[in-house]
Amino acid sequence: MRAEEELIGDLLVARGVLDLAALDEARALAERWKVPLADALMARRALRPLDYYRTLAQHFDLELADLRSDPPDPTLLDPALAQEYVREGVIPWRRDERGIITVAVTSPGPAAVLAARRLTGQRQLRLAVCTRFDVSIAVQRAFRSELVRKAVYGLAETDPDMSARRVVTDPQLLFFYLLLTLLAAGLAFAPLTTLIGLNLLMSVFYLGNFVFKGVLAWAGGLAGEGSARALETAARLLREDELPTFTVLVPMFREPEVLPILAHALRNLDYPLGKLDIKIVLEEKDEETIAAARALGLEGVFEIMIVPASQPQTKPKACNYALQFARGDYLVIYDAEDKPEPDQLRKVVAAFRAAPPNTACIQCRLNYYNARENWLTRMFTLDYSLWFDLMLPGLERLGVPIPLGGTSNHFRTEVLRELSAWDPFNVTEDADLGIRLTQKGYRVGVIDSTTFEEANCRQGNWIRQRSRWIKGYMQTFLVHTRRPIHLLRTVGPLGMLGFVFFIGGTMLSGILNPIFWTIFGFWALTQTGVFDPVFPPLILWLSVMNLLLGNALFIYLTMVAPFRRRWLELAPWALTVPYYWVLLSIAAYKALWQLIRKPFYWEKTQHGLSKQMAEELAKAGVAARP
Amino acid sequence: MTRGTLALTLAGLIFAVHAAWLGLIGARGALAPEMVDLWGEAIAAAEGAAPVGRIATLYPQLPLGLTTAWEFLFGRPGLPSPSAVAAALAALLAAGWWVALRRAGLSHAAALTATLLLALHPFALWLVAQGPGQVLVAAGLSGLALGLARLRRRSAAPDAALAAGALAVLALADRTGLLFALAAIPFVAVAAPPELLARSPSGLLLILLFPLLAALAGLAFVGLVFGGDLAAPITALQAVPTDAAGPLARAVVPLSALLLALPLLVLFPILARRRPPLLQVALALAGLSVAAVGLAAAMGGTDAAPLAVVAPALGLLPAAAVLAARDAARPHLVLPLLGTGFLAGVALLGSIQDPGAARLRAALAGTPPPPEAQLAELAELAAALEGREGIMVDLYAVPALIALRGSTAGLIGPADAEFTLALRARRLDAPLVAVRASTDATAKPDAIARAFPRLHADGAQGYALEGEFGAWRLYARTTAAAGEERRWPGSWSLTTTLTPAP
Repeated sequence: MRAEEELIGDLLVARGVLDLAALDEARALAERWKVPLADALMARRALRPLDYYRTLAQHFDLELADLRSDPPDPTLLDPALAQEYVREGVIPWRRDERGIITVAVTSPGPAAVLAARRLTGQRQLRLAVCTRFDVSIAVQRAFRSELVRKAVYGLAETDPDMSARRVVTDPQLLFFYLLLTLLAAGLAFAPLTTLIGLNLLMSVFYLGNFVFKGVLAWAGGLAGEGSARALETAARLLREDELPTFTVLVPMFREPEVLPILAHALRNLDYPLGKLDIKIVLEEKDEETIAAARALGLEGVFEIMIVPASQPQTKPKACNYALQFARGDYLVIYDAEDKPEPDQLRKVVAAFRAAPPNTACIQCRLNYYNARENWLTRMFTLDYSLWFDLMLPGLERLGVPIPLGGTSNHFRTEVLRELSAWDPFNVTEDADLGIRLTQKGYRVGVIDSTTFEEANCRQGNWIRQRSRWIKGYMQTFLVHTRRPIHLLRTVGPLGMLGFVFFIGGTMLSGILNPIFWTIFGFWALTQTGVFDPVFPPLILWLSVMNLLLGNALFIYLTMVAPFRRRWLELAPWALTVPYYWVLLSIAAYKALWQLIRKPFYWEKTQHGLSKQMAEELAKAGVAARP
Repeated sequence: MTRGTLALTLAGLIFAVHAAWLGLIGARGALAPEMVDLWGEAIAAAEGAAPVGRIATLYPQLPLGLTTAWEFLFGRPGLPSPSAVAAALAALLAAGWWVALRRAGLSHAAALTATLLLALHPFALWLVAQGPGQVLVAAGLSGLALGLARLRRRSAAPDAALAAGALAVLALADRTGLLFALAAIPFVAVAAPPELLARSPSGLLLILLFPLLAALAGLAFVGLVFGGDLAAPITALQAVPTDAAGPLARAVVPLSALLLALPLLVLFPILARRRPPLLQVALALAGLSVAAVGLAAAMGGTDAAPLAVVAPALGLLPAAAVLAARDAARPHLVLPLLGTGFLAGVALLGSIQDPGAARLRAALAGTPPPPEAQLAELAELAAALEGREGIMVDLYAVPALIALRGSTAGLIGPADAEFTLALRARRLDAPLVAVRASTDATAKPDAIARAFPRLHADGAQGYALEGEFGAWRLYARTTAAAGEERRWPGSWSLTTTLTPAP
């Protein structure tokens, strides 16, 4: 520990803002984590940040700059350096009558002086002390429009082909028009042949879909028991001082009730709190949650970021905005109600270290803590278990692009910045980013660590959420099929096939299912022969196979999905999955309608509805009490 | 060479051996009648000449589906399609066994020897000679045993799915398979990991049994939809005892054969006696084969063909070998026990009273096979019908005729409206009519003989007897019919239904 830090610590005690025991604890932590004393102090609620910085200013005999009431002179600031101001904790503040610039710094010292000279281009400078959050807030205020513009249009401007800002491109429109024309001509001149052709196409699609998903689940089920244990060991062996800084983004909107759960879960992480850069990202208009977050009196490692109001008001835009202030080598997104397993960040660091250098993202598994609350939460749990415990490891094993799940995806921050991060016009920005990463030559890994969430327990709310996901899949499919040859070249034939069946298949089956259910139901009730011409023997044979084998296989996959977690009591509920598919189809049609009418509209999922929420809040409350 | 390449090479080798073996059997006229029937059905299906309802409701579905696919894709380059499918399945199965044995820690040489002892075991030769159904039963039993063993060891979802899927394969492979699947149900619970059972018995058992239940429900569904027999699989289980011996007496031969030819399976519980988890799996594997024999004996199906229920149990041996080598740490016992079983198998195949074994003995000795009356008669009938058209015959009762003629071209069968109308109107119109004597109790009932009870004996007005082939008679129309001038359907299908006479 530097001598200055020793002295500052003593001064804090001498001024009565910190007790000796807390100082000793912070010093021990700083030593163990290899972080500055300030970071160790901020990780504990041992003192108010302002007291620390006031003492720091006193120690160095510098002015304490209050950048909130006395913001920096805009003429001294360069928008291109906005991120550096935040990262270095150094910001030009004001210029005196002699032209000498005062630079506000969070940690006075030679490094700060050098950074200040570099950022201002001046050799003669005056220093002042300010809090870290003041720098962040000053930058946000000074560059409000630039930061928002970058968050919204960053991807669309740098890589327009990868942005969903245009829902359908002109060549795609032409393609769809030609397809429709062809269909119309077929129906006009050879109706039966056309209908048989359509039927055959759909039957082959169904067959491919269930075969592909069966193979995926098999491959995923075999993946990783041994490697999971090795990863756990490697994560345990990591020393705290070698762990990197980790940024945690928690975008929230109108969910003040879950804040304590989130804070509790993050404090519970087996990771040095001083190495966490936690950003609670809130929308400017969401005054209720902003007030609730401030009222919690969180540790200094929690930063409340307010995203300026702008359109589209989506989670990816909020994340893009916050990314510009991220300090971590790695970055993860958690939802507000998430409860990651305590060793997750360690496992991620260990996984990144063991992975090939082109690994840009590690996806953790998601599941639910209120799985047994009602029918819907049980089905949702089975659905998620199938997706995260079987399908995604299967995709990884087969080298197919992985559509990332909504949260608990951990990135190398530099890669995120390089790729202009998330697409704010895509409502499943995570899935899109997963495909984009693969297209850009990066790899996505999946590890055995789970984040537990609140399962949606009401059907209306579930349909809203699922319709957004399916709409996002439609956007993702449209974006990445704009250049099919490019997609094929970058992800390979298997990757392309996987993309078509996994992204395309998931949304298309939701759309097609009701058509086939209706035909089957009508035929079963009336025994009509009206459909016979459209089902010649080969197609009828395929359809019977799809009906019996396909449905049985999907029910079975749902049934074995909870096997890895040993939640076998959920298995019998898989027999009711057909009704879940009905809900899924309703959501698919809603998604299709919204894609046409409101493509960028973010259908908000309401959290905090679970009966278990009270229990989780109680746990968080108990844990928060000193 | 990688493990995959080695496995494929081995599969190729085994395929060649089995193909040669089946070629020899075929050349000496010793093909199993069931296989010829299957071949006929497959040709009809591949030519698009059989209605979907017929294909969907024909039990067992798996061998028919695979043979039809082979027939459709490759035609008949040499081997009959069912033989080719049986040989290919046996080859793939052997490659799978080799991989499992290598993974169990056996050396290259030991794994290869063990695989050859299994793949060329006399029971294996008997299985491929019976057709793809029996090989599928062995494959299903292999999958079941390996799945249960792995489930006990590491409890991963694919292990449960393998065991459960194997039960469904058994149910759809043939009646012996269904018998094994039913016999296995209690033993699945015996072999299942107790901690998973304790967690949720209903959940685990549903996971292990769902594919079997779904397969049976699927059979019932297609039966319901396509007007087939809802209880076809269950009916198929029923066998007619050929003597008055009780179930216990009927079980003696197969149980003895089991003990002699598959000693590793029977002795495995003794090898595993000090390891309770392994012992449970060992008991389950041995128990289910004994139970299957018992069930077959109780239903009267073992005295006529004892090997039918014993030979497929060969499929359980690789799992027993894997467990004995790796988990029971007795790799040195694997080869001697497999070798002993091999020799006993040779002895058994050379002496046992079993129609399939008798045919194989004849084929090996180069002597004429025992009289398979129906097939011999049919072969003569097929020869007489060579190049003829407009032949009305109940192909549902004798699908082998299609195989013997090589095609459905020129045949009018129950799928044709011509055939149905003739039976409904009780009026014959076809240029040729083949009918079997209704006195033949062992054959499937002939719809023409039932509709025209006097046809076989007395003929019909306007028809003359053209030939007699054992129980079969061929009548040819002597007078010009209303539709004489029209072209007769070129194939047996709904698409070739009656066209209005000009």
